[in-house]
Amino acid sequence: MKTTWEQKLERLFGLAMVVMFIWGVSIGSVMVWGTAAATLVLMLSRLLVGFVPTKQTENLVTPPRPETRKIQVGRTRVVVPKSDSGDDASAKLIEQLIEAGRTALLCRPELAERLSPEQQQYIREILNEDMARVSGGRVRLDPPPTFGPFELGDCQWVEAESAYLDRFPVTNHQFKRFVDDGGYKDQSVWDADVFSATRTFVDQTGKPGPCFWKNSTYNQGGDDHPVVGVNWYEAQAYARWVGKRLPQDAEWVLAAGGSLGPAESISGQPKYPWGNVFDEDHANLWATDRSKTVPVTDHPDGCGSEEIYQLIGNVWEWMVDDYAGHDDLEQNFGFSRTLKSIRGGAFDTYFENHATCQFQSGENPFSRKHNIGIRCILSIDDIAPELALPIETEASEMAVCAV
Amino acid sequence: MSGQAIQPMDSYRLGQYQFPVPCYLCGKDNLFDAESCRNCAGPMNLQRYAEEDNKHRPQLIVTLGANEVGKTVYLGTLLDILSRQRGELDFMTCGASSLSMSQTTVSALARCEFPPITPKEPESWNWAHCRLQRRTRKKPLDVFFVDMAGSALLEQADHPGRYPSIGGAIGKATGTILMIDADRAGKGDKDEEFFGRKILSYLADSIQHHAPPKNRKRGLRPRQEDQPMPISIVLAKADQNEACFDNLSEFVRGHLPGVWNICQERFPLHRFFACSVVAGTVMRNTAAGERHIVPLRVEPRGVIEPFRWLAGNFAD
Repeated sequence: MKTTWEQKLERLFGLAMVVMFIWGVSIGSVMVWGTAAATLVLMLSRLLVGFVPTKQTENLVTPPRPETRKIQVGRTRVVVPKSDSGDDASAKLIEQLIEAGRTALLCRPELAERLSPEQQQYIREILNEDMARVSGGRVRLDPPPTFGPFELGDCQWVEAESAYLDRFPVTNHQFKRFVDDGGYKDQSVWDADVFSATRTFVDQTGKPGPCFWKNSTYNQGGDDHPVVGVNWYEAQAYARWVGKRLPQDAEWVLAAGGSLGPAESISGQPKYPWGNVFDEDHANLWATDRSKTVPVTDHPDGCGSEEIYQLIGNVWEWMVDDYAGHDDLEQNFGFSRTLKSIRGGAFDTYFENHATCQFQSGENPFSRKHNIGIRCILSIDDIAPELALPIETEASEMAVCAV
Repeated sequence: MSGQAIQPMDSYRLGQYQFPVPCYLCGKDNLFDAESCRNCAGPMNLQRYAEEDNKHRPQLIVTLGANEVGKTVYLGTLLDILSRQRGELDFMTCGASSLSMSQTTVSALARCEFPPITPKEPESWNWAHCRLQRRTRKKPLDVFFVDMAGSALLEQADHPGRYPSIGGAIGKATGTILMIDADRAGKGDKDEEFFGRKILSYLADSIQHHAPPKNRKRGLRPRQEDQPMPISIVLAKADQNEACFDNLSEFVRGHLPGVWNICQERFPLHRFFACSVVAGTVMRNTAAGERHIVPLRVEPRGVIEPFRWLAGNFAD
């Protein structure tokens, strides 16, 4: 038998246990709910009051981007920092364009007027260093050899205007600037009907770039080699981005073979820029036995009087024109598009008579071949008069060089 | 006028006509001074070479393939490239007639034309005799190439015995180049695969049929008897399908699975190659109203590799 004290103690103990249980449960729930409420309050405070950055997070805050505006330069739209002080904006733009190798854009009358005299002098020097002035003249364009034997009556006599032609084919290094600058996503430099196809213009790793590149970059040691693996549309987009364009057949032939004088209309144009006799040291063709591209500065003996390198050999060059006489041609590539003209021959061109000033070949504009590259041209009309080298000056400079 | 004159007595030469010379390819008798066999039209200098050097049989390379796959263009360009280059394979064409195939092909290609189609008549087929000096060997090799008409070849595969020279050449061949049109195969043309399989089946049967008995003494080294014939399977016109150059085995397994299987099963010594001689073609309307395919330009790729591999596997 339990005593009354014992019974009372048992009841008290039971009561204490119940109280403690209720207290514990309530404390636990308060803690849980408290934590949740605190989190909620913190989140709400962040949303409503605004986040107060600590010292650590201050660095993560993106600085406010300067307002920009786009100006149209030729076909290309250039992004310019918007600023009231015109000098700062122009200076910044000029620096950006020079850094990106797009100095040709600065030659445009729209931008050239903003250049200081020192800048104009600098741009003029770069222009004459990178490009050669080809004086206008009359050239003979032979029909493509695939048409078979031809007579002089089948040839076209074309007047080509003065222009500045790149002294060198476009290198991998130059093309990488275009890729890095987002050239493949810049709609303004692409033809509208192929822009959607640019997602297929990828390198071996599936990233934008020429088809033999990896991770949007070229192989080591390829800095000064001509860019290859680009189709006609990529070539044209690059040319627009850099502020130039692809050459016409007549302009290219004029630069390579020179102008026909009135008395030379029958056989005045030489076969090669250096003369009529092929020399394997003057150009990188099959006969040179290199079997690959060489730096664009190789074969200086192959330059003509204009000092334009590798017009013959190393890589074919895309022209803006269609492959001649395409009405009579039915292409064998499964495409309904016309072929685009290519000229100059490449390192694997087997016959030297397929790499003359007159020889024209064709290629599908979507082909990304291992031996077709780019050379750009700039019309004289697209250059501000104060930047273009006057013909008299050019002639006198040449005379001084000759002396 | 001098009364003395030297008159050679050629009468003893008549005696040579009494001894017939067997054709190396078909085994039929011919006159000792015959240029080509009266039975199969094969060149008789093959037999002369074999008689001169009874330790080494002539290296005969046959080029097989369907019509217009580019056998003549390939061989003509190969011979021209080999004669132009100086490297690990020092190459010399023997005899003026051996230059004809190169001349026809290269001249036409330089004019942006293809050489004429090889006629079906064996008398008109191209044979070339070349001497190959390899750096790893002291003795030069005499190599004979034959370019046969594709239509005749397929006819022979269907009806063996119709062209004895084809049977003879394949039986005596020490290396084979089988050409398949990569462009057509890539576009899903199943004929290409059937042509390839047909020719490979015929080739396998012919090799088995012509295999010499094991213990027969012919003065040849045992290795020459035992080693399987190397076969280069060349996917021609690969310029039209860059996937060939990028991943050849995947291309063959994907587009020519039958060819792949028959090679694995029946030819222990084979290798696939991608090759192109021209870069692009277009159609040309001639003055006579005909339409011809003409090359846009000539840029040989992968032309030497199949031959270099064969030369490395010759049983000498």
